[in-house]
Amino acid sequence: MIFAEWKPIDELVDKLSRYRKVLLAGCATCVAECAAGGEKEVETLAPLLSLAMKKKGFEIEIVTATIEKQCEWEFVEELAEKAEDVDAIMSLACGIGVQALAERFSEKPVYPGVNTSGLTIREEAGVWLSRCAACGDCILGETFGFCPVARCAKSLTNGPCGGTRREGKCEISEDIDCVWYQIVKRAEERGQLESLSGVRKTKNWSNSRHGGPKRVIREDLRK
Amino acid sequence: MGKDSEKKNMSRIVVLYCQNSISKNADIETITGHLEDIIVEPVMMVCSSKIQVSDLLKILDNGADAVEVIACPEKACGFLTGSRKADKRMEYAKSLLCKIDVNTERLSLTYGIELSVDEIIEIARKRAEIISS
Repeated sequence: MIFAEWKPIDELVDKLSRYRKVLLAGCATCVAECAAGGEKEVETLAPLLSLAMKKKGFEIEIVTATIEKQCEWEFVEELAEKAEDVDAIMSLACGIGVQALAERFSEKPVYPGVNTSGLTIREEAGVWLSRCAACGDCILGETFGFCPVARCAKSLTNGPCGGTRREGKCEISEDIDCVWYQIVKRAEERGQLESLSGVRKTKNWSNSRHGGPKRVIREDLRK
Repeated sequence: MGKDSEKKNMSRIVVLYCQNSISKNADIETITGHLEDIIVEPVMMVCSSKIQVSDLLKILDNGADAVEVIACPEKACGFLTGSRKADKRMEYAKSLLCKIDVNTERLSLTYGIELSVDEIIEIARKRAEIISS
């Protein structure tokens, strides 16, 4: 999922303090999964912001709404009625959702309530691990299902480096597994260690964000 | 000073209590009639695990001076993990209050079983004293 976390409350208060009525909009997909921007988080943040504002002497009315996905126009449209009536919108969706609201409701200031920071898997309740860097040139089939781009501190595609600790931990922290250690271990388990002996060609980064803003068209899916 | 003005100066304590934490004989409805010095608003829950962080914050935002949650002791929780959940949520709610520099004593969780009306009033009164000090 796309992972996001609340911005510091002070920052949110600072942004909203000039407004009388604000729509706090949640998204029931990725940010709900990472407990940052779903309905529960919206209904928690709204009174928290209100209390914070009152403490600083500001009056604000916060209207809340959570839609299924802020990255789909059909769902964004559901916010239209509430959006009309407010001075500003704060979105708890990822950057995609914030921009969708900003585009649809372009006459209103739209603020992000979260920082979007990665693509993660939920390892267990309350623990999320970074798993994908959206590099656009996936080599997971060659690295036995472990992504060195997202999980290696140096994003090495020809690892390991010389810094792997004895216990298979990364040199930057003993709390972090060396992903190349894990790749080699799994290759050994499968009897395919030889497959790692060649040098992988230089990664093509042009299909990731390094290649600039993207516009992808699938003619077969267009109306 | 008229009665309405007097009430305005009284602490308003919302008590969210697990239905199993109070005595079967306790007539909770009589609570508000007893009190001269604080306003107590009792709200029954099926289990303390039903409290949500958003509920606690909304109650404070709506003007309550404090929220007192009464939960069964952990080993006595009829739903096994209910009290523990309530405890975790309470801790998280308090951490959020801390972030906005609001007195965390305005939220509290007390464990109790077979509590009488008088005991509940005492819990609420104590909470009112703590937040006033």
